[in-house]
Amino acid sequence: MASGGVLTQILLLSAWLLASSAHSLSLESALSGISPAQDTTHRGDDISIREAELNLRRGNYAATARICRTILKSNPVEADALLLLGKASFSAAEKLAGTPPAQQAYAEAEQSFLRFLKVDPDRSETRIWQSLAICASRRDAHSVALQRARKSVEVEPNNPLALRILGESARALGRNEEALDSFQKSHNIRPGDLDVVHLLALALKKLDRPAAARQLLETTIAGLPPRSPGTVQLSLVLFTVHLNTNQPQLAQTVLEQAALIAPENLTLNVEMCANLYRLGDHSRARFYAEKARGQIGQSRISRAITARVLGQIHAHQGNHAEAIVELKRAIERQPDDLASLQSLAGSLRRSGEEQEARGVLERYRKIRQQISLVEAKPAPDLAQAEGLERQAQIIRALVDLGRFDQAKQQLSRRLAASPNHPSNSILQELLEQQEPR
Amino acid sequence: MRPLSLIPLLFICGCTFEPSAEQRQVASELFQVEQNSIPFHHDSGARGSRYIGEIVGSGAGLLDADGDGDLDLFLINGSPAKLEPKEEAPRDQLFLQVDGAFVAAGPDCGIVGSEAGMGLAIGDIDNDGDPDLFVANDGPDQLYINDGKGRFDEQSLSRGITSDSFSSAAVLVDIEGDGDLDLFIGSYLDFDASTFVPCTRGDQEVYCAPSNFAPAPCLLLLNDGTGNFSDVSTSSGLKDHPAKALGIISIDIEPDGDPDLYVANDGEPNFLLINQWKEQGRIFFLEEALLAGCAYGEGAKAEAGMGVDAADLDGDGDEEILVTNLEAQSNSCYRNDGNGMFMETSFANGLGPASLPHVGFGIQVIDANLDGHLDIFVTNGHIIESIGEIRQGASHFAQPDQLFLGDGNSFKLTPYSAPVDPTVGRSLLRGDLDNDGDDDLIITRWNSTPQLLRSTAAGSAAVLGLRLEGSSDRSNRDAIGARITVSAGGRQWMREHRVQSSYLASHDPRLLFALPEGCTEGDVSVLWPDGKVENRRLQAGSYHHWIQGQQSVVSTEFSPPR
Repeated sequence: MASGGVLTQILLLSAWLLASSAHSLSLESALSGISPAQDTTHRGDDISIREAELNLRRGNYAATARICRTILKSNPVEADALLLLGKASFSAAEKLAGTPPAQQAYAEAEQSFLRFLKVDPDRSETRIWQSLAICASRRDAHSVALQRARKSVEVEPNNPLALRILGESARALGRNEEALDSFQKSHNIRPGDLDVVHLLALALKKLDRPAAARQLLETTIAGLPPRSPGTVQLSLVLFTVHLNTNQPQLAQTVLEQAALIAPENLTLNVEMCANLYRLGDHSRARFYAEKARGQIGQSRISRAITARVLGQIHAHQGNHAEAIVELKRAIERQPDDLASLQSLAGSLRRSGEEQEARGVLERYRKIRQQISLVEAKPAPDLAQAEGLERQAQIIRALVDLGRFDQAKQQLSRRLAASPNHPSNSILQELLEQQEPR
Repeated sequence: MRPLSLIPLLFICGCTFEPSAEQRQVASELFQVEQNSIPFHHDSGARGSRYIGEIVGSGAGLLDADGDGDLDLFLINGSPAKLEPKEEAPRDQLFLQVDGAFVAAGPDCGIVGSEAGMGLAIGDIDNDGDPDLFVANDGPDQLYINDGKGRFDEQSLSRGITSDSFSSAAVLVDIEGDGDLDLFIGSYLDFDASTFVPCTRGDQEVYCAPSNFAPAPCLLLLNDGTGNFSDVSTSSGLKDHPAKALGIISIDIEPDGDPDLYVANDGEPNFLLINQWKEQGRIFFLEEALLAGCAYGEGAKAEAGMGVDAADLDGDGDEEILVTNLEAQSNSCYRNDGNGMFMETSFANGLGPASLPHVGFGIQVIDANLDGHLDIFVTNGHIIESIGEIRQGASHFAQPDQLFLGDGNSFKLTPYSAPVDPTVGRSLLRGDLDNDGDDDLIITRWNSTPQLLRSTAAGSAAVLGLRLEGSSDRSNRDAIGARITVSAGGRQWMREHRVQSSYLASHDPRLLFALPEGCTEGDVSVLWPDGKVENRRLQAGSYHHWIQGQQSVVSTEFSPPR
């Protein structure tokens, strides 16, 4: 779902990715051995390409890639092989998302698509540019992603997926107006795409247009069938819109309605626990915290939230021993959680653990300083020695804060900007040592 | 919460008072709103420069300037960065109360202020028995010495007040217990007009957030007993704690008899400045808000602290601290658990959620419905004029004020008057304007006229009024810092006496205690600033002027309810 905040259009692209890759090469023609591209393709390659394509259709990405690589060894400009390799690598990368091999697969997909466009520019199509935009965004090259997304829209201005990817690329760069415009166009073309409604509502919220976001979400939800999963997805967005307009009670009403449809939705239960705590309803907040805790699939952050809420409820009730256990649990999962640290110090003091409380507050101060460092603007200029030094401090602070994904992003930018800097290996080592496996 | 050893009190009071049904007010009629009864129009000084001081002012104070027994009103004005040709600078203004109406005092009253005004502190600075007036400005501060007849003489420079930075709130408090009022001046921030560039939000030009400016240390000026001051800001450690102060109160946290200070900072952690006079024998402050748990709200983020007040909301014998903040931050209620430990409870006690949509400024704890439980009044108003347009109606520049009625445990947002249009509120003052035994409120409104909320609660309960006067060489005449305990009908209330609190405000120095149903008198204990304790049984229905060490009090009956 779009709520992940990254480009996740693979499902919509999949039809194309698994479709015939050679230009106008139908399955029937592949099986009959007749290829319209035979003027430019060796006959042996034709057979291999058909084999690769069949493998792609079956989801055998590794086999597809192997065949294409073999073809490209002897004929590096074989367009269909390049296209198929791009598709296979991209599909594999999306399947492997979040693992180190995924990055390699994205890189191979990107290279293959780019070479394909060079070899056969007439076959430029929106979905290739969409895939290229996604590849770039996966390595945090958001400017490149934006250029490619714009190209994909240029090739096919009314392609809703291209517009959506453009919106997401623009959003990643903070170009919120362009993002909103793209999501709006995409929504106009395909109003039933709930992911786009989701993204459009978030863009409206970001641009201080909560009334419009609310209207969009409420109208869309009203048009959905009863007990639709889409209602839950959009209700969670509407909930954040109400919070954004400082209406936690209204936000709670939305959550309660969504809970009738999906009582076991983990995100919903975590939000319910946090919002009920906000509303001062400690007994129900506790109920939902414990419910969420018993569910599978919890993220590190959701575990931290439920532990913090439980800890703070205990603290309010004067049960400081229990509060300390929960708050330490929250901090273990989210080391930069200042609210938990602050509450923990309070409970420790009330339990007579003055020295430990002071130690926690020292940690609190350090973390606050580190947060100031990593959030300071403008971002360091990596073309300058001073900028690289400041960025090294930021990476160390991010590791200390447990923000490993952000640290990795910073490190990859650093490696791209200054691959031979002497501190790179030290930072890389630090990250590897500290990141939990 | 700290356990409180309640003494059996039920037998003490006579049970003769029985208010009629008509006398009991429903919450929605607790105040009558008077929109134009104060002939003053606040001028923020805003002429397009977008200097931050223009949007956060201005305050006001209540005092009996001419000694005629009723409260007069001092209102502060802003000042434009640059005057138009032939334009006169807006001036601060004293209004004398004459037959219940506020009448502008003439030029002979000696008020000359035309600086960009912020807050003020009122008290007997020169210890001659009448209230004097300190005005905090973005620019030179002013000290007006009263001749007791409502004529003031500006004497800041000759009395050692030379500050000309961006002062905000101020409090008069006897820091070292030598029987006179010292002056603690909050500094808002370090503003330099010569380098200033306005900020934008979307395509709108807006006032810059305080994060765009450097903080500046607060000042402490020591009184020599005659109203002459010396600056001890550096030696007292204040220079080590640059602030963005907007709200300040004195409060004896420990309580060890020397007053500490709580500072609400705008966009920075709040300060709890623990006075080391008793511990170290020198004037020095330790900043301990983070350790105490009152630096940040429960979310552990720095908030935009504006107004501040303190009161014993839960009846456990120590005072909670209340702070108003920006929208989306909720106003804070730091529950005092004793031993220098606070816990932020606004979301648990009902104050938090309802305050989220608003930008809170003035805040005052009063017993609005005279039920013996303290209530909280908050005045609100945004700091971005175009916020309605920017946020498509999700926020508004003019916002409703709020009354949170308390029941001793939690608070409930309650209508307090007939429907009234939202306004851009800033300062909020408490005072019994008509001497009828209930607290009226005055709200200063940005670029508008002040609003008077006249309480209709008088007569609905037995109320005991106090006017305290310290008289030893170690108790300041205004009795600031005295701790008053009133017991009646099995209940007990504690209050620390302070006159400056809320937002840029100085209140009626008198105190009111509503007694439980059926009680007509209360046992009152005063712990004076010099540590001596006096006890008296006092009748409801009057203000009792209690001079420390004297055999009897002078009682003045309340006026008929208005």
